[in-house]
Amino acid sequence: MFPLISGLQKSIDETFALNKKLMQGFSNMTSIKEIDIGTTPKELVYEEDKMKLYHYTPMVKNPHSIPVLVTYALVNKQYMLDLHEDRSIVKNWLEAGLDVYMIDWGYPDHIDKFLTMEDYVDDYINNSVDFIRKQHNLDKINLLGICQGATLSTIYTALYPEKVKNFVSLVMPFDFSTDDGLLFSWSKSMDIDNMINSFSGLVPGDVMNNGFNMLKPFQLSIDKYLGFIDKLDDKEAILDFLRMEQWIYDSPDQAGPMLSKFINDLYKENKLINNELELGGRIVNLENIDMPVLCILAQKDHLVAPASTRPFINHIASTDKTLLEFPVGHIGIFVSSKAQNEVAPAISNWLKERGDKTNSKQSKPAAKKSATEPKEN
Amino acid sequence: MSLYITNISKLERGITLKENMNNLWAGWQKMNDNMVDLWNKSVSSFQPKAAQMEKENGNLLSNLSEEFIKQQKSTQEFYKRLFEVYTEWTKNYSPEKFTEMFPKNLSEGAEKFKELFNAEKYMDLFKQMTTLDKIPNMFPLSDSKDMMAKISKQWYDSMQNLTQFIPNSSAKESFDRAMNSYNLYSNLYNFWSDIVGTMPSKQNSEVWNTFMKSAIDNYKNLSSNFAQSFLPEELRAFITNPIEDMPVYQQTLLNFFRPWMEDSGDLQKNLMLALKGDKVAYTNFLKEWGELYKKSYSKILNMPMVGSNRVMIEKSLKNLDAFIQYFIHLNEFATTLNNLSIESMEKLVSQLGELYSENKVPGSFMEFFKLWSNTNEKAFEELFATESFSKLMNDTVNAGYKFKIGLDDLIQDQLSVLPIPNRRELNSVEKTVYELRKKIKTQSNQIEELREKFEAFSSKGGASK
Repeated sequence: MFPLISGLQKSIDETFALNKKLMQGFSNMTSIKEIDIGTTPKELVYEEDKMKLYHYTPMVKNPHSIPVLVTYALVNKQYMLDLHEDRSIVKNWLEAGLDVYMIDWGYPDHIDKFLTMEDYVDDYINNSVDFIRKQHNLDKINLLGICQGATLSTIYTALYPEKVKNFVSLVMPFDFSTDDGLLFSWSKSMDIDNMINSFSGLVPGDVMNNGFNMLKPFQLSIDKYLGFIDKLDDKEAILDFLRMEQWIYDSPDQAGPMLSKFINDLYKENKLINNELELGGRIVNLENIDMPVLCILAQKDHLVAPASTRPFINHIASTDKTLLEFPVGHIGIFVSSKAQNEVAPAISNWLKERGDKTNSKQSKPAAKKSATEPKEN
Repeated sequence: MSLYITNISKLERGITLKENMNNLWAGWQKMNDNMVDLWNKSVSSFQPKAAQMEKENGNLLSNLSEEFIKQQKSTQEFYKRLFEVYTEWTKNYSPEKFTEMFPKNLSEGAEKFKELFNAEKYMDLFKQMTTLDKIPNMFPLSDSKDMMAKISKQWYDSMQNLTQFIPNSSAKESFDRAMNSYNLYSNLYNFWSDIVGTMPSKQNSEVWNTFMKSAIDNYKNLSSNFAQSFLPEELRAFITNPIEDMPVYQQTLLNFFRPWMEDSGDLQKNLMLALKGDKVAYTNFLKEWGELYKKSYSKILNMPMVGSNRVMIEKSLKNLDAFIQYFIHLNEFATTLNNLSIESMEKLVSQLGELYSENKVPGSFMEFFKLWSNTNEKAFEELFATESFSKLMNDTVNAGYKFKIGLDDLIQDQLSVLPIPNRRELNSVEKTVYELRKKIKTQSNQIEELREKFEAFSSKGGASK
């Protein structure tokens, strides 16, 4: 027999401190009326079914003349890029002079459960791009895809290269053959169609979320909330936590055919990288991607393993292509101080360097695979 | 008519609120009584030392005691008043005024609560007691554990009552999750203190095995209760019900399939070993049982039926088979996770023993908690990364979904006689809407293209008048 801990006094202090914080937290929590998220001014400019296209109000007098369209993943919401004004990537881009449009996929319900990958790429993305092109009287615009949204944007860019001036991908799953990261290994033996059928064609977002939480069960289900108790005496810290928490559990349901094709054709058969993916009777040929490309990954990403993103620039025809790696995680790349100080400026600078409507630079010399550019530590 | 409904609704909500308030009040009174009782017991346990302590520390103890009782009385007074306010409030309650009434009362209530109950002051007094060097052994290890457990439990219960006041929102969900973690955290302290506090020598294997079996059972309850709170709503019943039914089901299987089992040497051997606590044997038993089941009874459940009700009977039997298959997989899955959890626990026990021998016992419970959490997370990550686990998990999930599909189908068959639409019928309508929507989009685009062509043609002067 021996004591569990040596510092009983310290434990008593810790327990009392936790209890105190819970009490203070109760008082703080009841005084929170609203969690402000996505406060950067924007305007709804186009909508189709549940999809909405927003235009962020420019923050400089003469914004960059080539607007950028941001496409986010279907499994969470796009306001991750605008969680709070102090941590808003969007605001950072606007202040840097970019003209930003963003797609909000909405919340698919049973009416939308038959949506296919074609619907997302050929209709929603393509119609949004056409709308912006028409508004700005441009042939091409900049396209920026994030996570699953980057994969869809890659497919779009390969099918409609004539409409994309520069392409940026962030934390994109691309090479699905990797076994780095549990999502990739688990998905390979998953019978996704069985799952889709069991939910009558519309997979609840909570089910997807539960899978993500299972990747790190102790950290995401226990440690995180004990850490939260520790912040309960700080109202601003509570609000930050709640904003993130709201985002994490704000998971739209997934339309069956789209999800099925994504898992079966990409995660299981890895068709995109092999130029075998077929969409609406066309083969998605990565060789069609010949415009300047910036590919960004997070080195500590537990959802999209870096090994899945790195090969992208080797499979496209672009001569002006850059791979940037940042020592952050899948979420940190959007909300950390690095996101504000390094990631967001790297993107806006890269886009601006590639010219505007009147001064369009030609492709720069090649591929710089840079684990050191920009400085990461 | 709508006015009538509003009034009824107001009345019902008023009654419900009143009932809730009554329950809440009773809960608080009970908690306060418990706190006073706990305090009295604690004070009485210090009596032999009280004279010495008074001598050395003046009248600290009696001051603390008086302060505590004063706090309790003012808290009770406050709640009586708060209860009266809320009773009055529920009389005037109306859904239209809800948003403006609730936050005002709530924030006032919270402030008064803080002011009157003065939790921080109360805890500071306790803390002060524990830090007095001159009071020897005021909290011996076992008493302290007991005391901390009770304080934690009462805080948990009281906070649970308070969370009823937080309006439903993501903030409330987050707070509830924090409370779940807090509960696990406090329970873990008790659990592990008991483990290391009563651990027998490993030399005496019989006593050791009995001790570990009891510890493992408690640990299973602790972890499964916690894990269930994080399951998604849609799947909770599909996972928790079979787990709850497991003991009954196991007994039934044991009786029903006894002759069949007795014919199988390996199965029987593994079962006997499993009953003695051999985890690997239990997993093997489940696997073998599953294989034998598929080769025999499963075939009976899946054979074609005859007669007018054959379709329904076939579906029912197939669904029964799907349930049993799911049950087998879920059992294997749960056993694998349980085994890992227990292995981690045993590893942690050994690790603690080593740390103790090196005089490096965790400095506080939070440090221990981190050690516990990291040990488990690492073990789970290693298991999750294996191909066999990936297969096991997907087999379990697939079996579950297969059962759900069959069950939903059966339910819809049963409901089809009622004059309400079911999911199958809605699917058909939704598919039609989707297709029509696509058709309209395509035709709108075609009209737009034709319009543009026509306008271009007209502007070139090509249109004839």
